[in-house]
Amino acid sequence: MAGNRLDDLPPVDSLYDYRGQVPTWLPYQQGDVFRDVAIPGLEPGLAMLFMHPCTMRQGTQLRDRLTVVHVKLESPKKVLSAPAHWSGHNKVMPLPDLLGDRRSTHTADFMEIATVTAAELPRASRVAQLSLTGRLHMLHRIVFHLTRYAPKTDDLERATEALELEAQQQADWVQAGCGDNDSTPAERVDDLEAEYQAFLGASADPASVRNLLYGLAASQAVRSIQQEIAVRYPRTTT
Amino acid sequence: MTDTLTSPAAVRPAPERTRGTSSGSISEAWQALDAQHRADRQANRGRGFTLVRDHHQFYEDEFAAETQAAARMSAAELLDELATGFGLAWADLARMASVSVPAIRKWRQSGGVSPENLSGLARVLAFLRVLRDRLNLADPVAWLGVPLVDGYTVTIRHLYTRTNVPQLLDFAAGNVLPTVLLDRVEPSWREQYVTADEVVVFDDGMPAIVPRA
Repeated sequence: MAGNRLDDLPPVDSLYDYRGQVPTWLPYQQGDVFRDVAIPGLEPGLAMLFMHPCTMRQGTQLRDRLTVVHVKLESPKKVLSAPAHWSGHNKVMPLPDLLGDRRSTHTADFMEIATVTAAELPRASRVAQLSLTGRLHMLHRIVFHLTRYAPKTDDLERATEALELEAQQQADWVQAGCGDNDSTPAERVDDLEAEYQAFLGASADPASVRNLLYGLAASQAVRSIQQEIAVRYPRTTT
Repeated sequence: MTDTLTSPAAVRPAPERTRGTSSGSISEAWQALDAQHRADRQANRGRGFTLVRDHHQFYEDEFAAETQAAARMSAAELLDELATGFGLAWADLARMASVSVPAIRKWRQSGGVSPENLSGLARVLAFLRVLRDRLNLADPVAWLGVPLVDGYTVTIRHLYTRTNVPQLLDFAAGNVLPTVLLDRVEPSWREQYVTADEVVVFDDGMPAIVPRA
C-alpha cells in the first residue's frame, strides 16, 4: 500500500477463479456474484454475496436471509482494468470483465447493501466467484469503506486463512463426491457439504479435524481430509 | 619499593622517537603488515564467497535431482502427493507455481497440464521433499507460512521462486539469519511487508486483526 491510498486493483485474470459457468460444487463464498436477484426497490439483477462464510451459514445451511451488495454496470464497452482508473473510487469493488465477455466492467456498490432471502441465491445462478486474491482485495476495500482503516491484505489473509482452507477442502470433497460434474443438483451438493462438515467434527471436540484446521496443525488436517476424500471418492480418471 | 604496574613509578615517559631512516623503516614494516592483513581478509572473503556459492550449488543440485524425479510423475500423482502427503493448500500451490486454483483442480481430475506448468508443480514438490527428507523439517508446509521477522508479514511463501530455492534451503538449514536472507532475495522487504497490526485469537476463539502491542 502506498500509505495514502488503497492497494492497486490486482490484474483481471487474478481477480476471479470462475466466471460464466460456476460449478455447483463450489461452496458459497463472500464475493460470489449471482444473476436475477430481486433486491428490494430495484429491478432484478446482479448482486454480490456480502456476508462472511462464518456468518452466512446456520449449521451447514445458508441462513434464511443474507446481505448482498448491488452490482452495477460501469461500462458496457470497456474492461476498466487499469489501477489508475480506480484511484479514489473507494466505495466500490471494481469488477472488470466480470462476465468474461472481454468487453464490460461492473462494480459492487458498497452504498447499496440489502437483505434478500436465501432462495434468491441458488447455486445455479452464480455467475462469478472471486479468487483468494480477489476476495482479499474486496475485504481490503470493504473494511476501508466501513471504517476508513486500510488493513494490509497480508494481515487479512492470515486472519482468514483457516476459513479459506476449510472452504478449499470442502470444494475438493464435494467436487470428488460429484464426480466432477459441474451441474450436480443442489440437493446432492448440500448432502456432500453436510457430510464434509460432519467429518470435520465439532469445535468443542479438541481432537476434531476442525480444530486441527483452525489450530497449529492445518497441514495435518489437510492431509487427513485429502486422504479421506481419496478413500471415499477414488478418481477413475487421471 | 617494588614498582608495580599501577604504581606511579611504573608510568614512565615513552622514549623519544628519532626521525630519519629508522622511522621510515618502521612505517614501511607497518604498512607491509597492514597490507598483509588486508590481503588475508580479501583472500578469506573470497574463500567465504566460494564456500557459500559451493554450498548453494550443493542445495541446487539436490533440488534439481528431486525436480527431475518429480517431473516423471503425472499431474494427478504430483498433486496427490502435495495434498495427501504434505497438506499443501491449493491457494499456496497456485501462488508458488504461478497458476490458478481452478487449473489445479482441472489437472487433478482430468490432466491436460502443459509441460511448463508440470515443471512448476514438480519444482514445488521437489522443494518440499528436500525440506522434509534432507533438511529434516517435520512440517514443511507449516514452515512456509511462518512470518520471518516480527512486525513484518513476509513468509517463505512470498519469497519462493525457482531462482531463490538455494537461498531458501540455506536459510531452512539454519545457515543464515532471516534478515540476511531477506536482504539478499527481497531487498525492499522492510518497506513492502511492514505492518502495524498483528493477528491474534480473539475472545470468540477466531482470528482477529488488532494493533500491534
